[in-house]
Amino acid sequence: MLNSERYDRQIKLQGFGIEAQDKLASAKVMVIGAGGLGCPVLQYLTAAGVGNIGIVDDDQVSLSNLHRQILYTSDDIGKLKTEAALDRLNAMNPEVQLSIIPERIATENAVRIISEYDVIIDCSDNFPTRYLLDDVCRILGKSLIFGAIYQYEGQIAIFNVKSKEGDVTHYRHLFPEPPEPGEVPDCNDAGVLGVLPGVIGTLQATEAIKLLTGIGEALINKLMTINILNYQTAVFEIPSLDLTDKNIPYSIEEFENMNYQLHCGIEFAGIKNISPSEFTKTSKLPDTIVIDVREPEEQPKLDVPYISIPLSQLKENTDQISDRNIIIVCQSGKRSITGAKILQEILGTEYNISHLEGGINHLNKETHEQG
Amino acid sequence: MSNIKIISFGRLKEILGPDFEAEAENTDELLSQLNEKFPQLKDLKLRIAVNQKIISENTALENNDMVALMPPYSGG
Repeated sequence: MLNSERYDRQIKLQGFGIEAQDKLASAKVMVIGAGGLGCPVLQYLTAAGVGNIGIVDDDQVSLSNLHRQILYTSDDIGKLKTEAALDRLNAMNPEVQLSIIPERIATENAVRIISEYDVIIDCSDNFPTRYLLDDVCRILGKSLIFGAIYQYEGQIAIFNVKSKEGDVTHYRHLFPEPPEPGEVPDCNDAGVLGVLPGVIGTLQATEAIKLLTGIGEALINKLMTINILNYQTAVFEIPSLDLTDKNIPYSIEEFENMNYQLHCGIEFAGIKNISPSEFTKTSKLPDTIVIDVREPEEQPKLDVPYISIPLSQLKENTDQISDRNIIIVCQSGKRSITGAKILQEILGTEYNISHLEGGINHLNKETHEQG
Repeated sequence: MSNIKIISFGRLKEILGPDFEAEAENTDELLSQLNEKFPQLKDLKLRIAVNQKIISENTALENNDMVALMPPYSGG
């Protein structure tokens, strides 16, 4: 039996009532990412009485999250976001069943994680995850509520839900192919005003409530864009067409064989991504050279032996490289992948070329940032 | 020639600047004009909407049409 006093003010609403509240109570919603967008989504859906909410995030809370990820406090720094979110949300509304999955969503776990839920909310911070979620929701027939932010602007849409006319759209109808790495800066590089994910995440939660209860006109097959500096807002119609791209998956089996890092150009055949802990070990191995492709004035400097060749001069300076194992490093891991591709073209496959994932930013932090 | 209004979002706005007007018969012609004027546009993934409808092929433009240029965002 619902504790109806808790929800009294929305049950009272004309067009909502106990029926809509019952629909929320029997809903199962999975939130992917408990960062800037995930925090307001989780808070409002928990407060509103969505019966079952899943939270997927493998990240820990860090200090630079706190200006926008308002579920967390300074005392949570270093804790898993899923654990901190669970404590806060349980206290907010103990009637909601919360399940936490402290994993990074990937082709290996996505089908298992998503199968049990009806509505998936994309609060992720990177293109590989966004395309992965779009594909798996299309294949499993799950509703997907998309939200994404850039500096002062946001985008919201609902995918994989049939409109009254029978049309269905996907994120791939909007952007069929991922952009090149570095083409679209993320929050870590481009910055973000703290309230922006609050606004966009709250709209994602609004769309979830509308979709689950049937009130109003949900953004099915529509993309809403908002600029919070001038409140320029627009709603665009997304065309529903047949997807014909042979490089995208159409079955669970094809999905599980996808490599979304490769698909989004973040990983390349023959170039290894290495983590900060691997870097500390492998940079000291024999026959290994570390190349910093940043400009000479960029800080902080590496504390392992390295040579400095700015990316713009890399092509002309490959004669400085005599070691077989090459590790390319830059500030955020974007120029280093470009550098690794340049060297792969010039030096061929006899060299083991790798790059430091997330760059020196990642190396100097124990925790990785959620955009 | 049709006189149209162009609005842009995200990084595209950083390249194109504030909303402006242009003259073109269709979206392909408009894009090649913009690519010539703003070479940085060339390799960027973007989506075009005419009067708030996202288009998938070359579309004829009429006076006072509004063309929106949108990039994908990844942040969350």
